[in-house]
Amino acid sequence: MFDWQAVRLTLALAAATAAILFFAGVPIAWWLASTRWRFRAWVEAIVALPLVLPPTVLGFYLLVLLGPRGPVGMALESTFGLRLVFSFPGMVVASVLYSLPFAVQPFTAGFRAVDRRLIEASWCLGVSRIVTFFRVGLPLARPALLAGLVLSFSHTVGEFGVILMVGGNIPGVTRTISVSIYDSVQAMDYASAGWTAGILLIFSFFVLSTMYSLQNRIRTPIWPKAS
Amino acid sequence: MAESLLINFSLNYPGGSSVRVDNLRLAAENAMVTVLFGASGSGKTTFLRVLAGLALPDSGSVSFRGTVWFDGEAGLCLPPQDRNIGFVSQDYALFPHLTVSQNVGYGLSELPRIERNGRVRESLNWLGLEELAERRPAEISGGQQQRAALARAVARRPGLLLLDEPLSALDAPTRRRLRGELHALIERTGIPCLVVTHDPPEALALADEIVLMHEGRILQAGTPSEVFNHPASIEAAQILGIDTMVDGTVTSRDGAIVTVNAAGIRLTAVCHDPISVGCSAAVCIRAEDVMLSLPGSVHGSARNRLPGTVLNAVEEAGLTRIEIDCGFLLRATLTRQSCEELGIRVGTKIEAIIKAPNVHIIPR
Repeated sequence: MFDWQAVRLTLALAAATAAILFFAGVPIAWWLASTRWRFRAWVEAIVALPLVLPPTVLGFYLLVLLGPRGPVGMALESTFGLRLVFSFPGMVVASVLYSLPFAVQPFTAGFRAVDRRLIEASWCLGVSRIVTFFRVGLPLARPALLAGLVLSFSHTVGEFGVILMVGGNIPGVTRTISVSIYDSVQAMDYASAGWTAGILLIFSFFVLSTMYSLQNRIRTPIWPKAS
Repeated sequence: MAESLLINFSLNYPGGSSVRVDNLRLAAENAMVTVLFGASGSGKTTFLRVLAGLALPDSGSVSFRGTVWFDGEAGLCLPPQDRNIGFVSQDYALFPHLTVSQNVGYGLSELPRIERNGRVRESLNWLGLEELAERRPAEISGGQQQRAALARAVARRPGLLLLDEPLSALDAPTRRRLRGELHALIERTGIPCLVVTHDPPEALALADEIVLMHEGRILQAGTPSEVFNHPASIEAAQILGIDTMVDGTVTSRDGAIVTVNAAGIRLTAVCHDPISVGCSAAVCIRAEDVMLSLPGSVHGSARNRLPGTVLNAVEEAGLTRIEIDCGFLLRATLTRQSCEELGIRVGTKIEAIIKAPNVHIIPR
């Protein structure tokens, strides 16, 4: 019947991914929005890569890199005794990379929309760059930050290829909803697949509609009307 | 020396245009207002941004009251945070997510709470914003936003106030009212102030000193009467767009009819601005509004008839520009034909006739 274990695991994975992407993505996005470095386009391209690459490609590289015989995998295992492939932390690493553009791109768009003159006004009032970020940049980009958070969470819930490559299919450890559905279909258990798929559909719709209505209710900052 | 602003910089834009200021010294005594005057695109805003630390010049040096703000050779550029300035941009840049009082208190977070609240109240009070303290910028008018931006800038008691076209986005009546309020605010706070404008009346109303900019260069700097009465070049005169400017004092007022004493001459003018007897004012007359006739000719309806002597007559594209000494220097423009009919040459005794509505009074 319905795979509750997979649901719990998926939600934990999505929450961890969204949280990490928020704290890692906001500084990257703020930097991307304000820098005039000429190789910025390269960084933007790297951030956007997961949008065009098949999940299997990303999963393949991660497997090679993080696997017991990969450079990163070996280093982690010898220093911390940590094995990332076919484990929950490994899936978090994979999801963070895979959902990176879904967080960074809306964040960057939000920060770019913050009027440069407001930032300069803050500097001229003696407020440091970092404090200006917290007092002007963050609050004015709030709708975009929420959008990025929702997108990276939902994108992780719906993830399949990368998870299967890096996490495999260990019940209670790495078997997420999407993998569980795939598994049921493979086993010709259409009833279980149908239940899980249906619940996932309803849940996703519920989360997205709640978030969007929240977003609409947040007072969108309006530039003061001209005279 | 100590109380001055020394500016010397050049800044090149990728397009090939540049802004260059060579060894300009501006007095920065208390409540001193310097107006940076020029058409749009003349480099005024760049000048102001260099002073604020928001634009980085390619070379030169800038120092204020003995503190070096920028030194191209030493590679030193003090960030805006360390210059203790108040900067008000053309569009005010109020923080849309904060209320008026939060905006005003924004730069005061290092002060203890009680002192901060006191400063915010004081600044709001100076600009008559107490009632609007809890409103957001989008909920108040343009003139009120302008006042909030000024209150925010002066709340920190900066050493220098930089105002970029502070009144240009406002409608004419609001602009005139705020001009007076701005003047009062500067007097009250004693903060020296640099104002960018392209509006001659605004320049005259506010300036103790005028710096004339054109195409990224400084054409002339001096007191308003120096700059307006003795433009250093034809270019300068064209930019200023006022032919005669004389300092005067209001001697009487009857509704909109105002009498001023300008260099010992009594002039009648029409003025809708609030101005009271005893006030000093700039009296402006455009050359094409001056009629000339020979002395003793028939009286007309015009209120102002000034006897004088022709000092100079220069022909220019079929028109003759005439300078007349009638107690002050008055400029008039006539067609060549009228000039010949009146027999005008240097030394001719003449009567200048100006209708009262053509005498413009700018309170100072």
